[in-house]
Amino acid sequence: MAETSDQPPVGGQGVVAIIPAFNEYTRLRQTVEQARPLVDAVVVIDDGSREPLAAHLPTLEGLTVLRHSVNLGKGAALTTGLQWATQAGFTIAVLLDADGQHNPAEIPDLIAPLQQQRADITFGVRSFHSGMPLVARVGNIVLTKMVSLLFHVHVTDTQSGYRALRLAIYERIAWTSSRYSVETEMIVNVGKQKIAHVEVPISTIYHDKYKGTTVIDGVRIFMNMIAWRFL
Amino acid sequence: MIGIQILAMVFVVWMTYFSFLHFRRGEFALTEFIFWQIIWTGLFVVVIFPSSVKFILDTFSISRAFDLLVVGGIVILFGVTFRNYVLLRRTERKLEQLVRSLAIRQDKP
Repeated sequence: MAETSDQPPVGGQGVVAIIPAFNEYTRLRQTVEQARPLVDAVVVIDDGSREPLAAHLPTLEGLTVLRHSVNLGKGAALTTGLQWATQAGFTIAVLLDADGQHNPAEIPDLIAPLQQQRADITFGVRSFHSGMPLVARVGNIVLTKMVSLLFHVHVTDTQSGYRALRLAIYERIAWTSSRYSVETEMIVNVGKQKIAHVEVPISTIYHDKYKGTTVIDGVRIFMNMIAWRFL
Repeated sequence: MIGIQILAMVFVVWMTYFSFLHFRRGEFALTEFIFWQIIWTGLFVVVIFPSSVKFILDTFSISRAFDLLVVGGIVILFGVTFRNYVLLRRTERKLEQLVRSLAIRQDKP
């Protein structure tokens, strides 16, 4: 399911791709250009980048750039994107990273279970092979086991941000995390609300192992999980 | 008078001046200024006359005025930390909402 890349565009389905971005000047343009034909609209949330990202993006029909005047974090940027998409009347949102870790060609695979009414949210799941840095692999396995143990939600890759959801469920899974804990909190809320979910295999791509979630973020996510479960 | 008392008095006078400065600049309301003045004056009295708190020491079975100061200080610090935390969270939330509404409003024609 994950490797299909030559499916036709999904146009007319009310699908929006939400791309939070912070100081991403090298791969964002390509991500946007690849995603645009596969969805009805793309919204980039420039999360307070040093130089406004709009200047680095092409003029495309259906591309919107929203800019946070200060950096708030990935969780907050996703919230902005989802609130905008809800107001704009879209029905499905695909969340993907700006740094090229998510292959836009896999968007149709992520939204297919939603369109077929098999789920309300889909989680992109990477394979934990040698392409993933060791620290990320170990951290991901530990956090995934923790989520399963504490919240009884079984998602194989809790730290992948490549997801698609029906906007109608957004209010039920809305998160408070403004930074990288958002991926985990979303899964925890899906479990608490017993929302139908499906895993979709996606490619494992790492361009820069020093970007994204760090060990400190991992510890923070771990502490948050304890708080969500027991407080 | 021992050295530590002199140091404590200098500290109290310094903090009183600072509180007054904040009040004059309009950064403190009158009630806030009075609150801090009560704290500093109380500290001043305890430093100069440690025996003035003997009744509290007896009530709570604390042996020395210094111990009372440490215990009281820790309690106040926890209170202030909690209040700071609440205020910080509230400010963060308001900032996030403001930044978000500005970002979404940009898109409106």
